[in-house]
Amino acid sequence: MTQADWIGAILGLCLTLGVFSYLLGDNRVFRLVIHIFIGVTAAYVLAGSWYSVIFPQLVQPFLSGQDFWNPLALAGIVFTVMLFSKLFPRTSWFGVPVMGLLVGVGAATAIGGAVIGTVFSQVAASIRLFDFLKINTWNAQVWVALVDASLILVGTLVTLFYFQFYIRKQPGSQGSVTGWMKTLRLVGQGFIAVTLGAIFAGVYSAAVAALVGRLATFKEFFTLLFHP
Amino acid sequence: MKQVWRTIAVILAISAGILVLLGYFFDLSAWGLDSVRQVILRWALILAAVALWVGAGNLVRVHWRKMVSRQDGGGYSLVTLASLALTLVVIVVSGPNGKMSQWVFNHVQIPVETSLLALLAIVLIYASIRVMRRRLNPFAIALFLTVIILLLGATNWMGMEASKFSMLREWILAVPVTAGARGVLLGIALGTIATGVRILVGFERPYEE
Amino acid sequence: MAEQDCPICGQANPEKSETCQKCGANLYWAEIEPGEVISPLANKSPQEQDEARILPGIEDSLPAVPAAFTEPSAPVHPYRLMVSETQKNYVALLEKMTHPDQIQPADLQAAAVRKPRYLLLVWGILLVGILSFSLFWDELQVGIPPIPAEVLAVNRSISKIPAGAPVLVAVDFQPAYTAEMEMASEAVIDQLVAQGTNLVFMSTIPTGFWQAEHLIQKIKADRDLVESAPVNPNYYNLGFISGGALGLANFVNEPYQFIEAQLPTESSASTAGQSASLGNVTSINDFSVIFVLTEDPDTARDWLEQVQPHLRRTPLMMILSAQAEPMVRPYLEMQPAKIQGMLVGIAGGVQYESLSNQVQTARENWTASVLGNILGGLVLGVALTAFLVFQRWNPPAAPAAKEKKP
Repeated sequence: MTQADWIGAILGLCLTLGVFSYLLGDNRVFRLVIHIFIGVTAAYVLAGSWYSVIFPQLVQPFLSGQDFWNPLALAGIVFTVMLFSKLFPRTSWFGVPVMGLLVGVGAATAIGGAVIGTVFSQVAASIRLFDFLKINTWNAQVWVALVDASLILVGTLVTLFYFQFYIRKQPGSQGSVTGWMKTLRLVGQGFIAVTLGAIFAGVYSAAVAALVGRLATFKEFFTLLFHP
Repeated sequence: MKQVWRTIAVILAISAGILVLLGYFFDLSAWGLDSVRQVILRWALILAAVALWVGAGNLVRVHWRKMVSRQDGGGYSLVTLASLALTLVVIVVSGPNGKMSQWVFNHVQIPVETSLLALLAIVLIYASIRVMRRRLNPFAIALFLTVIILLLGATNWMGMEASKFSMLREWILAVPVTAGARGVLLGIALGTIATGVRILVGFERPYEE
Repeated sequence: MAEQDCPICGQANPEKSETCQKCGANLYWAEIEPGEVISPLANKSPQEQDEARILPGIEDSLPAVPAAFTEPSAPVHPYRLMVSETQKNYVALLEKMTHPDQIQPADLQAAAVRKPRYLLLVWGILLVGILSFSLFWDELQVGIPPIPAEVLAVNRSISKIPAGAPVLVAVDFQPAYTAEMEMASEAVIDQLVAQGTNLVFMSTIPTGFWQAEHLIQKIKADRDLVESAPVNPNYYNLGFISGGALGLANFVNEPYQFIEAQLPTESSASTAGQSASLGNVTSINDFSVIFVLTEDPDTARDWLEQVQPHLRRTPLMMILSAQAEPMVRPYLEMQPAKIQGMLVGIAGGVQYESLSNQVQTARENWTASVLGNILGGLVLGVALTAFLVFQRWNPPAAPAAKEKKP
């Protein structure tokens, strides 16, 4: 390891201990580390967006003369200035059209992706689980596959039903979910509870992996320190 | 003037959005609109990066005010601004490909973020136990049971043949979790479409002040 | 005759009326939270509302005149989602699990923040101690889980890639997940390097540029340890593409535009005899395979929604954190699958290493990771059993009888 690596390793160790000091309760060391982290993160976000997007896509074509008289490039510069006006309360109204453009394009991108990428494919997938020819080809236990497919279809439907918020309002009452609708929502809740459990287990596994990674780094550091 | 500006914002949002949306379903090059769509997407991409700068500028402004007015936590704001400035200087001087830029990322950014996530491993279990102390209902029990089976079934134990936990784990992931996740994904997609359509017809204008 | 009030405009309507006589809202199916401004025209007279409609006199048409657009800012929510108490409780439950600080009651939070939490400290020391012990005790080894079909599919795809072919690697994970994601992906990237492919890194995260450099540095360092004549990875780093899904929609249409902007010398046509340069990449389908490395299921979904529909013969592979797997698996468990191969977490890294036999980083940390998972599962299992038994022996008190209304 070079000298810079040693200094970096010691710095990383100190920062890690500063973060773990949170186990003793919120304290100044932890807050200091977090504020350093916020500043460093903001710097990398600024640098990443500048060197990867703003400079090569907006500034450099302008400076090189390639897009100097291109009205579309000029419009991009104008939009950028308008967006910066959002920094100050007095001028923030000036950036509203640019925000409108961003929101409109973002919404359209989200709709297009959701329709083509998720809705059609996931609905088709739930139905294709009952394709007998395909089941026979890739699963010898046909009945097990059919039971699983039925469970998946039912689970998908009741989970979707759980998010259904329209309820029938009886005259003179507040309106509530009763009877078969309540049963379906309960089953949907069950499927969601299992899915949330899986996500929780995944989050914990990822956190354990991060902890193991940190401890492995310390092991490497102390091994090199005492057995160079 | 502001009313006119707001109207322009709505017109921009709707027209740009509809053009981008049409490109997902139709071949716009037949009408010569494909290049217009590309330009709009390029503008949005650049503006999204500029928005990050606006966000960072706001961060600087907030912390500067806190520091200058000597509010509670003003000292920490000084630390934030100093570390931001120092890191920026390092990146600009050594270049984004430079060794120093990478060094700060390797020895400050990664250790702190990884440690914060590692802390979660300790805090999550503790927090779950605190939640269990309240009255457990069937759905919380189902949630925790799923967590326990998935964690215990992470592998066959100590070199033994695939344990029952592992097989149960695989089935849980393949069937009920897939079903629930598929329902949630469809719900999110339908909600996205509903909200997006409301924005594109001008019924919702989150960009307005 | 009993009346019902319209939740939108407050107009009193006959009991059995299905729509409001003043504003036309459907009274039968929707419930609105009181106090919400539903429409900019809600407080206007019926004549003003009618004049503002696209087709005056026809109900349920949208208001069209600019006056409706320039109302003072008020949230326009035609129908707010009704959330029941049970659903709120589940949201709160999940929030408490992922944001444990919020678990403290407000009146105790200030005191608890300063007080050390002894149980938390004991659990932390136990977990760190056991994991450290397993890392130092090399003889303690846990078996590798059976290799699933999606991992074998990754290996099959990579073995078919010729030398010099461009491979797109999206480094879309936050620095917090560096340890897990590098353990999961190192064997794959190392095999691609060994085969002499042209790796093209990009990211939809601002720190992705440096994250990719960190990954390739680690691979170089590990290869230097095992090889006398180490292979120099052939890679290009396109950096950050902003906008998330928007950026991907841009990239999928014009990947060469980003290559030209970032790497102007590399995008020119290759000369005969040299390995293929990125000048041959004009569309997303010119990549031999696309790998997406991410911990965020939303990012994975962006790739599946914006990029995957455009892919014809290029397989899309995912290397995911364990937390993203549940929400991404539905895209794998379908015919035809949208994802052609997948590795999940350290387990995926260990499984792939057993196939490729090159680096062993995941294997070295696998035992500790499994022990951490099992310990967490055991603690939760014991706690759940204990609290269920406690609940059984201490049932909740019967609710007091409701007072009758006068």
